[in-house]
Amino acid sequence: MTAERTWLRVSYGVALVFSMTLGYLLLLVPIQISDSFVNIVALERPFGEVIREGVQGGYLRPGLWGALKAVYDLSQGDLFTWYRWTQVLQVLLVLLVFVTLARPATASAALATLIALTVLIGHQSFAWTVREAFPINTFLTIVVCCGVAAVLAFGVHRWWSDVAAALLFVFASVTVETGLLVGGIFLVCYALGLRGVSWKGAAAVAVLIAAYFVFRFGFLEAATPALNEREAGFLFRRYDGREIASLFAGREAILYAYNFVASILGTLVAEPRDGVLRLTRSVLDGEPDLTMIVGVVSSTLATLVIARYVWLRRAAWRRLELQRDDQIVILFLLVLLANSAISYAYTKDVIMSPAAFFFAAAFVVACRDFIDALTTGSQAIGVGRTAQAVGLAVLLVLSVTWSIRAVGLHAALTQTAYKMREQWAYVDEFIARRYSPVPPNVEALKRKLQTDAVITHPQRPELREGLTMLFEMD
Amino acid sequence: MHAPRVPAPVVLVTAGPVCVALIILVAFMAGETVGYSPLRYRPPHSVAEAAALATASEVLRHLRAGADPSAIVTVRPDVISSDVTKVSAVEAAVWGRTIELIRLLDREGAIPTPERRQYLACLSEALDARDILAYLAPHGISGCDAAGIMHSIQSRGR
Repeated sequence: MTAERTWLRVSYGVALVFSMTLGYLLLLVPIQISDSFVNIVALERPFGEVIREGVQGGYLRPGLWGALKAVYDLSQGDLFTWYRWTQVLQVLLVLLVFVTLARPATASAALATLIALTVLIGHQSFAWTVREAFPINTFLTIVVCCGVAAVLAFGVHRWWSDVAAALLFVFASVTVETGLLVGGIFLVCYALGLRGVSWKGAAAVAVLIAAYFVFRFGFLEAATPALNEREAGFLFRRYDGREIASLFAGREAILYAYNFVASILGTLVAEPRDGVLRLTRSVLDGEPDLTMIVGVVSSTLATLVIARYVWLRRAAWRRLELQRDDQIVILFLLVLLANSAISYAYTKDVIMSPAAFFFAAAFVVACRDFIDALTTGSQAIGVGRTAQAVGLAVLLVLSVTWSIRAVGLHAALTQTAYKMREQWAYVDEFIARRYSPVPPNVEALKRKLQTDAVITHPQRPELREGLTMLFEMD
Repeated sequence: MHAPRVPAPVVLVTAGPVCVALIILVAFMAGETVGYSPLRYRPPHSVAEAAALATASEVLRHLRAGADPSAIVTVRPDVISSDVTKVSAVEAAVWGRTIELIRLLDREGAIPTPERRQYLACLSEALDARDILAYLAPHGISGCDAAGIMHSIQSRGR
């Protein structure tokens, strides 16, 4: 076995272990009630009707409903097992696709990939793709699709690549709106000189993107969201829809610009979160939030490492002499901009999960370069010991803080499992607010899911409080 | 491709923390698989302990398994207090101070008579659990000997 294969296999092995530990905890989390129970009730209808549910109210999400219905039918009533294993499978796919894209072939690349896996898992955007226990978390589905799109584009062209690209785009774009990023990834990759998807495939995707907009805004007459539709974060707190409407009526551009910038900054430096300057607010309140400090330090340092790489490669970029590593970093920068633009009306950490995926991928490139520079420097004559020490310190802080965040996600999942299970104990109150009288099928579904959540998979106590002080549990 | 050998200090600072994290996670998972969970709080031993800790899902699980919410059982001294170690689940739920749990117990038939409701309302008054009191006795209570109820519960454990 060649050295390159060894490092790749080691990286896949680490990804598998993380999938296993996350998967173990994901299987302890019951399906959540809010935004899920009513949808599952709707899945009892025939397939065609369910699909039509996804093409209503200005939304174009038949892919979401199709996936929900397919797993629902396959489960034959064992919803807990099938939906939770779907989530585990999605996490496994994300991590494997990530390593496939990173393709570590040297020891330094494998070390960079090792930290990058914690960057991916520990990033606040990824956290909410697994902590929100929808039957199928479509934000995570889109991360998988974006990752597969990049792997296709960076790979060797095969006879099926173009068809796969078109199908992947169609599925992603009709699942949830951020799925449009998949189309953007194919086009950007082609423009960057990657030919895993040929000009025919790229052209097909471009046509499909145009068709999407024509159908969505021409036939469905979908409107952009009104200001008062959702609560949103702005500066130091969150506002409900009514407050947002009164604050920004007639000057929507301010909110949209804020959301765009907040999405970029949140991804790069972990502040703001969901549009709210949480660390800043905690500092102003005189009680700095330790978990937010860990988040900001880790993200900022990773961003600086990527910025260093961009700076060093600027001359080559100007000459358009792009290597694979450059293409990954440029792809990240463009996905970041596009993902933030999609979030213009409503910013939330989880929406930025595709950008977070490519942030981690760009980090592999930049961190490997950083380690190589440190390695080469340590072997060269005349390199200062101070520079060496600073370099080691940067790597240590990166590795420690991102490991804390990755372990923190696991701890947070135990908290999610606890809270979701408690909600199932009180599900009658939820049902009473929505159904009067309660139809027999709703009652039967409630009993089934409640039994799954509370009896079949009993509650486990919370983690001891002192152990979680560094983790984002809320 | 020939890549330079990465020095040990670089490997250590880069891989060390991540490997420690992985070991912790795998050990946690393996421990839980065999029933060893030192990082979690101890689970409630009875429906009364679950109620005192306001763990509604465990209360429900015990009830569905046939536990009697009115039966007086022993709870560990660190669950409510060292003075209160023998209580029923519905009494313990008042100490849990979670109105949703009281409503849940009520729906499950754990407060079957007006006398029982009156007794629990009085206990709520003794513990100053105002929202529970308002739920159990929306029109107020009369003839409540709060101190007597507390004394009676505490004396069970002596």
